[in-house]
Amino acid sequence: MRSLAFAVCFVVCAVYAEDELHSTGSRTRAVHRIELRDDLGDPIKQGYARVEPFSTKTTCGRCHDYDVVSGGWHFNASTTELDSGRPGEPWVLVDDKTGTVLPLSYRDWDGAWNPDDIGVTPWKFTQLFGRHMPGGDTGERTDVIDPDARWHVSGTLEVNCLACHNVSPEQDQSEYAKQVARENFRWAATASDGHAFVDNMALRLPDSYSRFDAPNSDNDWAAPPTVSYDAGFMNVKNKAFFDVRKRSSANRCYFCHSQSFDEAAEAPPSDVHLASGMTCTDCHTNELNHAIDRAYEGPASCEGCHLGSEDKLPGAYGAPVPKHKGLPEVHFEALTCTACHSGVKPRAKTDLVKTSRANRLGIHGKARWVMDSPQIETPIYLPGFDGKLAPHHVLWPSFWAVKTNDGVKPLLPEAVLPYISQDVNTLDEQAIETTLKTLASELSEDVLYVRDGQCWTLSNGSLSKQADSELAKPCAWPIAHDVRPAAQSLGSTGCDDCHSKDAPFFYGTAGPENAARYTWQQLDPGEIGALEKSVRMRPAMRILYGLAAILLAIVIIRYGFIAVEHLVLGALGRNGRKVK
Amino acid sequence: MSTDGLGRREFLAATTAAGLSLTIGARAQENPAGGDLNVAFIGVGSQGRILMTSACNIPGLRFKAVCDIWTYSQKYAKGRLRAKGHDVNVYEDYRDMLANEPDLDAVIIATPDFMHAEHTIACLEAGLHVYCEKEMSNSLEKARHMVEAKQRTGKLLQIGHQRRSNPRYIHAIDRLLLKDHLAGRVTHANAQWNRAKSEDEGWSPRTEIPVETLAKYGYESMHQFRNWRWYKKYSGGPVVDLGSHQIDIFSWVFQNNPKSVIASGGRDFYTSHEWYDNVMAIFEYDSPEGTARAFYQVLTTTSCGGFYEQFMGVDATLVISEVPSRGNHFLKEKHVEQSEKQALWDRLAQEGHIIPPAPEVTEDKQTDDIYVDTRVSKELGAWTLPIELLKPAHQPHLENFFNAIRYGTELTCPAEIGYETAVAVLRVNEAVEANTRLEYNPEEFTV
Repeated sequence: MRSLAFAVCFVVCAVYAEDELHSTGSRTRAVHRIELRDDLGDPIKQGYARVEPFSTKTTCGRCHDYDVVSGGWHFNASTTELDSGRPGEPWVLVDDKTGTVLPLSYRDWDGAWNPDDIGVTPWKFTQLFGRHMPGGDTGERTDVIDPDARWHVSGTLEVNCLACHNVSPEQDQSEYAKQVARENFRWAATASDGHAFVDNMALRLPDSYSRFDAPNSDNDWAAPPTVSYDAGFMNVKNKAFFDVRKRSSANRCYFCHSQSFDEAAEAPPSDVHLASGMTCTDCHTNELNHAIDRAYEGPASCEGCHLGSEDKLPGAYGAPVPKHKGLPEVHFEALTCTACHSGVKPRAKTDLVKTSRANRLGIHGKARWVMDSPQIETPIYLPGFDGKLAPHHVLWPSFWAVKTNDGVKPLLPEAVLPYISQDVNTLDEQAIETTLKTLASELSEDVLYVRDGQCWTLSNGSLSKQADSELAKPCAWPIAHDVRPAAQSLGSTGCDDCHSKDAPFFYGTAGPENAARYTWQQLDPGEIGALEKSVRMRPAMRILYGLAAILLAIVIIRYGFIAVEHLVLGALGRNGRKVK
Repeated sequence: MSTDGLGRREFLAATTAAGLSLTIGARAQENPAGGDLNVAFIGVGSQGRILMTSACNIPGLRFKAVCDIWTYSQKYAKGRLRAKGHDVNVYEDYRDMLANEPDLDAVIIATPDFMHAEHTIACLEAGLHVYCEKEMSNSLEKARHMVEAKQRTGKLLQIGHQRRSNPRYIHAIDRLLLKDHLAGRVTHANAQWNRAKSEDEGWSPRTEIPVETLAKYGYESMHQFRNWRWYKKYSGGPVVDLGSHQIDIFSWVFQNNPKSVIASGGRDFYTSHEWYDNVMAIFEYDSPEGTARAFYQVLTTTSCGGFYEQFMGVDATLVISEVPSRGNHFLKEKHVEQSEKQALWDRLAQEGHIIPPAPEVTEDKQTDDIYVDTRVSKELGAWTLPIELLKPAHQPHLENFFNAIRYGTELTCPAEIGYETAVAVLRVNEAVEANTRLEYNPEEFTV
């Protein structure tokens, strides 16, 4: 508790110190013409024999507290003990040769495996996913003992401030991903900012390489990475200009947070907020501590801007206050805003969505980087953290695993590959049994296989299938974007959007077994049917209610007159004379 | 497999041919008689790190200490060893290490050549077995003292001519060249190590060793410390640094030390260095089959041809290199096919000791269009060595050292052999300087 209090004080002090240092009250953006420094803190100067990539830690960190920044949401998954919050998109370990689709997250989210628990070290994690990481986090976990780690060759993957804050159109995260694939971690930020060319690959260097070694003159294939800064990038005082700003543009966020659908999917062309001139960081705000507001609750949430909160009036950024005319109150109790306003419109069968991080979107080059796996279905409406139905992206894990004393441990692809003898996508049960027997024999362990919501094990030497295994349950995370305007929301053309026979919202299918969406919503089809009937009866009921109202009015008027007459006569006396 | 009646090299050759030698170390170390060994490193610069990487692959070694005068290398080594599960103590001075690490069994020395003798002798006298990088020393007198210390203490001293433990070299030389005489009489050898021009080794100002510390350990500047291989005070220069690996193999094949050398070289490119940046030498040997000559060159301004060794016999030439892609085969002379020796080649191929070339795929062409220049001999067919080393190049040599400690197996490059090579190689620089042919006295090669 004391350490937590200390940490909070430290962060607060650091934030205030930052403000004191830089804020003059002017709205003019500070010009960042700064001296570059390498990761050892040495200045980088033109004409030096040893040309190093710049380090954000020592270059940006001279004015902006790097330790405070690197505690932020994007950089703290593997190190923080803070509340994991609402589930987000996991990282997905995909290997087509072994049929592995394994959702991973250091955060405590249902359906995702903790990398530490299955032998994915911070080094391995960075190798796998550094392409779409903004640096920091596992990219700097050199303290973890790992015989395979090569931090001493690759350098660390520092928080890449420019990935988010560089306004220059030359900022190239695709190049960043390429450098990560080459294990040029220390060079990745420099290579991607648009002012330098980085050649060669740390990946090819031997384990015994040291940064001060001269290039190996016996083997130019295994040449260490080199940096060439553009002529003119640094001025005569060796200062370089970075066009950076505090509020990141949406384009910077897109590299890691894009999603793509089939053409047939009814996806909005843009998020309504961005179309109205806002940007991601208007809602997903943060201070120097980079504690990004995830905006699913609180002042920056849908309700916070559109309905207001205790300490905030509605209408922030011109947000219209919704009328939801005629919409029964039950909808607000049972559904999130996003259920009607976000993602693709539900169709008879779920759509497949590719995301930047899962399917490697946005990396351009000669090689094909985008992968069809993992197959992520959307939208499936599941109860969220607040019990309301919310649209989710969902994937079904697939992996080989061994049983341990503590439960089950998925096997990493490299451990399985030697024992896979055929295309895993076409494995029938006989082939699954054969492979499981081979694995059990080679590994001397109890083994199992999970795919398509099923779990296969060997029981007394023969195959046994379990359909309701917890291990095979899908991994799901709620979505918020893109947000559709009111005119394109579910229900905008009437109640029939959802409350009609075969309406995709309830009766569309999802998952490997093509189960109806209402089963995922944990709803009783009988109740849904009753709701539909009530909706169908609604016009007649309206007439009935109208007639009843008229009848009631007639009755009221009739007896009202009588009552008035009685009152008047009572006041005047029965004979019409005024009573004294 | 019984090894009765087989010499060490025959046994190694036989087992490697069957693809077994690569597992010798692992199998031997499973023997409960061989306990874990406590090991320290003195010198963890670029060569020390290569040895460290290889040594970390060998089971049963507990690394306890690291000694280096550069804090950068100390941190680097400590970090690398920690990642491999070894928590080591760090020292600047080897004397402190020897005083504070009483449980050591062996030490791996990879310091600059001029310090090898001091480090090695101190460790041997402290009761440790020593693996010392080549060259034994840049001074024959110091090298001789190393051999004497080894003989005096009875401890093991392995010199880092790692090709001596390479199963490909053992198979090609001991089995095929010397036992089977596959190449016939070997009359000539040719070897080279050509490497591209390079920058000097660097450092960051933040990692610079204080001048007084450098002086304490015998260095005049940080530049000289980082580039000691180019300075006469610390090293024998490229022909010793690189050439000793290959000139050592000449003696192995010719089963004798050289009787003379004539050499030329100079400091023609790197004006800031002391040692010759290119050397060409011709050695003469009295091999058991007669006189043999060997040409050797080391160039540091071109990588043309890289590094390899060729042993030219009347029936075939062995082309071999530590990197198999540069040499891993015998080139058979055409006349062998018409002689009874072809049966030997066929038998060895049948037994898996060598792999014949794949049959040529010939297209059915009209002979009218083909012009054969009869003045040029047909290219020799390449018969490939069947052994693949799946470990780092230095690992078998280290395994040989540690197996010798554990089980008493024979070292492949004991101090006496390392000394012979030092005598042969250091004389080359003298020959360049003298600009004349220099003779060796056979007695020079013994201590």
